[in-house]
Amino acid sequence: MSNTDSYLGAGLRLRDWLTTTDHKRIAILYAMGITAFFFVGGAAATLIRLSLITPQGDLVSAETYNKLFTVHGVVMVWFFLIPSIPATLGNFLIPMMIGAHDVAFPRLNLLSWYLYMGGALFTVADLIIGGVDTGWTFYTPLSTMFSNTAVVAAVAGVFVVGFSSILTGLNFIVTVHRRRAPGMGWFRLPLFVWALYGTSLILVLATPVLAMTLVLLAAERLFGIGIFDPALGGDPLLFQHLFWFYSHPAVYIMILPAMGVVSEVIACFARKPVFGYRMMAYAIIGIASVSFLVWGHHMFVSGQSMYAGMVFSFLSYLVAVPSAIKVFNWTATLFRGSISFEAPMLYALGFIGLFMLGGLTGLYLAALALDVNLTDTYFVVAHFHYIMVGGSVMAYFAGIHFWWPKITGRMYPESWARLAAIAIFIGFNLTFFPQYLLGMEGMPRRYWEYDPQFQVLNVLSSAGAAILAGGYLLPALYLSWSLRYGPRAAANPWQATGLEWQTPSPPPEGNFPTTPRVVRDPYDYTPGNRDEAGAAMHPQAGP
Amino acid sequence: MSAASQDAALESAAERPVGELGMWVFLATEVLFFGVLFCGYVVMRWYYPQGFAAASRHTDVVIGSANTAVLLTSSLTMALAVQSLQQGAARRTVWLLAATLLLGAAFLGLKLYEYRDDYLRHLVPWLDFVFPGRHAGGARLFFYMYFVMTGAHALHLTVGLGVVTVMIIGVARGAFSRERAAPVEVAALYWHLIDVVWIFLYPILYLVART
Amino acid sequence: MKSETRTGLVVWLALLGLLGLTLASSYVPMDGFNAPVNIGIAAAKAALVGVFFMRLRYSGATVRLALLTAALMVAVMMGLSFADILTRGRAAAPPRPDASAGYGSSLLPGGCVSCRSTRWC
Repeated sequence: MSNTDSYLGAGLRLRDWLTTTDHKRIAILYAMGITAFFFVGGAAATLIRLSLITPQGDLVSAETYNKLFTVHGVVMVWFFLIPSIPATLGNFLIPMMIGAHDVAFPRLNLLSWYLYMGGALFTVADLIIGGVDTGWTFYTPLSTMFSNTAVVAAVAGVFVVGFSSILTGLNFIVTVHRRRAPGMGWFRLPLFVWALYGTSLILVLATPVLAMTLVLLAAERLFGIGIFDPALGGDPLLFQHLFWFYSHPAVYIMILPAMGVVSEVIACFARKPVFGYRMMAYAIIGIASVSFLVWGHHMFVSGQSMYAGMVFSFLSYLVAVPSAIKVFNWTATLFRGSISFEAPMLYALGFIGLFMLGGLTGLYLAALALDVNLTDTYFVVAHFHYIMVGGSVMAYFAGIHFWWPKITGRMYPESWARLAAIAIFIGFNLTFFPQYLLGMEGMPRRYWEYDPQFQVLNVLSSAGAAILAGGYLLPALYLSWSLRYGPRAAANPWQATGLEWQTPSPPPEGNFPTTPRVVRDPYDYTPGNRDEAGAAMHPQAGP
Repeated sequence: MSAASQDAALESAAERPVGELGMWVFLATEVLFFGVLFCGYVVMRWYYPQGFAAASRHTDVVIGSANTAVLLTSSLTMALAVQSLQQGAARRTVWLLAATLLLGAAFLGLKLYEYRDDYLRHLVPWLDFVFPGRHAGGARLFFYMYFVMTGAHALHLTVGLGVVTVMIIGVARGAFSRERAAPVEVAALYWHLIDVVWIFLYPILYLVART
Repeated sequence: MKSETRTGLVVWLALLGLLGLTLASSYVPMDGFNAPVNIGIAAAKAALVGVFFMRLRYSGATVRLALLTAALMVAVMMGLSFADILTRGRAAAPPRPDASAGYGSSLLPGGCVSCRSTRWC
């Protein structure tokens, strides 16, 4: 198939791209924005790690340091992690995986991208030109009464990006409900779709709460009165309740799609159906539901009632149950599989290990008494980086590599990709494992200077960050190279199941020439047989 | 099954209507959006029961009640408009939608008049707020929530007025008809939700302590 | 008159009747039950608008589930926030300019029941 028949060949002018309503092109638009913001957030992280090589904070001033970790947090959370897998891979793959020609509301989808880019660029400009020193959490009363930085502009951009999230979630929910191809029942959906469906529920139910809370924050700052200001009789903890009502589920906005990607990749490269498919689907919905009940574990030492703390601690342990089900089921999928170690699989295996470390240290932090010692130390920083970078970013890279042939029609260079996967794994652990130790020894987070006894581990961490940065630059280089020089990809280079592999690479504009008809369950892999391309499609394939 | 009818079945499955579900999911987000304000209100009222009671007596119960009646009536005309469009009576639909628009505008007019009155009585908490008695602190927070909540509601109503205007033009030009009634049905859902939000705002702002 | 139109008018009259009821009830001292009555009537009005005007009686399970989930989430938000606020006790309670004995205070012994801040009193 020549390139001109594909979605990439239809209209090459900038205008064709900026006015497209094709979900695949919108996914590419998102990917560009997200990649750019990833490097902005990464640059801030680089400066932080450079500054922390010495205990005295030689590189930047204390104010700049505060602004740097705010840039890093705001950009990485809202402009990279939250949209990363949903807006790029989700946008590209959900319609293809369910046999649809597009999402339910294509124009709304494009509007989401404009909202995202507009809001994110505005906030990033504000963060870089003006600078904000509150951290990504915007805690009151610091953000409302004491900070002399451009807080209102920063939250305005985040507010706008929130609507991009809401509209994306809404679009996915309606798409999965109303656009499934004939025969694509709920329990024939690939787990990636299930994961994105759970993610969308959280996006739709939690993001409005963040939006309104930020409005109240901005109003309080502008008008000098509000319900979070203790001096006027308000309750600053109410802000934390409302903020974490969104921001804890937001963690699952980041990790659920990653779990979806890993399920697809592991099944394909172990040549086995996912173990306990239904349980995996239930676990996704279970995680999404429980995610709304645990936010108070961010507030154990905030002055929250200790009785509420006990309730939140107990509920937080509940999250471990569906999460463990998923880890066990991935391992059981690998058991006696015909495993091969292509780059996506390396990333996926890395994900399982790092997610487990991040998840288990989460149990430490959910334990009320232990958290009193560990809270606001580098232990927390290490914990959530294991989940968000070791988990979400690893899975994002797994997905990018796995579906790269489908998205671009080109193969990426396998050896370079494996090298990058290994470099990222090593660099990541070297960066963040020392931070667990630093936290155990009591180094507080968000401090510009530190006690000299912590220097060795900090230098190790910064050295790891250098390897990690190199690891992240490699894919940027070889993936760009492959766009032009990579060998052309076949329709199904991995012999994977799933409807997205049944259409040419890159896919034509409407995804499928005719609406496919699904007659088999997902992950119809036969162990050991690499020529068996599983899922059926086309009316002819039906009985 | 013949190939043609099979194709038709496949196409109809892929072209199921999405507007109604999309709007309901959006309305769910709106419920959460206003939910934050209700949560903030309830917490503050728990802290300052007397301040909220005293402050609520300073709201204009006549305008508040009249506005509730106006908005409930606008929901009726909106519901009737959808019915008549589904029955193919485009002309009657236009009139009913125009009545809805007028009632919505009347609500906003009354609300703005009330805001002006509040301002003249020094009840705007970030300007020259003056409140007699020892409950001024709680009262000030009450009026803060009053302005934020009614303001968010009025903003939604203003958007609703724009949407209804578009619907009137669409029905008058024949773009929306019995065969293509979904946009009007979906717009009506949004309008009714604005009404429902006000149904809850009315007692918690105007009727806290009238005894 | 079509039966659907008649239903609409009847619902509208019921709504106005409930409006009158909630307004009138607010002037009757009910010893703390005014607020629950008002909220109950508001819920009834919202249900009427939802079922008849928003045609919930015709909608499918998905739509009802969406609405139910949203309501449940608001309940969770308020419920777990109050799990903290009701049991917070003296240490971290915010200044309460017009707190009065017994009402609006912490449910736990030792909770603040007296005026601790005089700024706005």
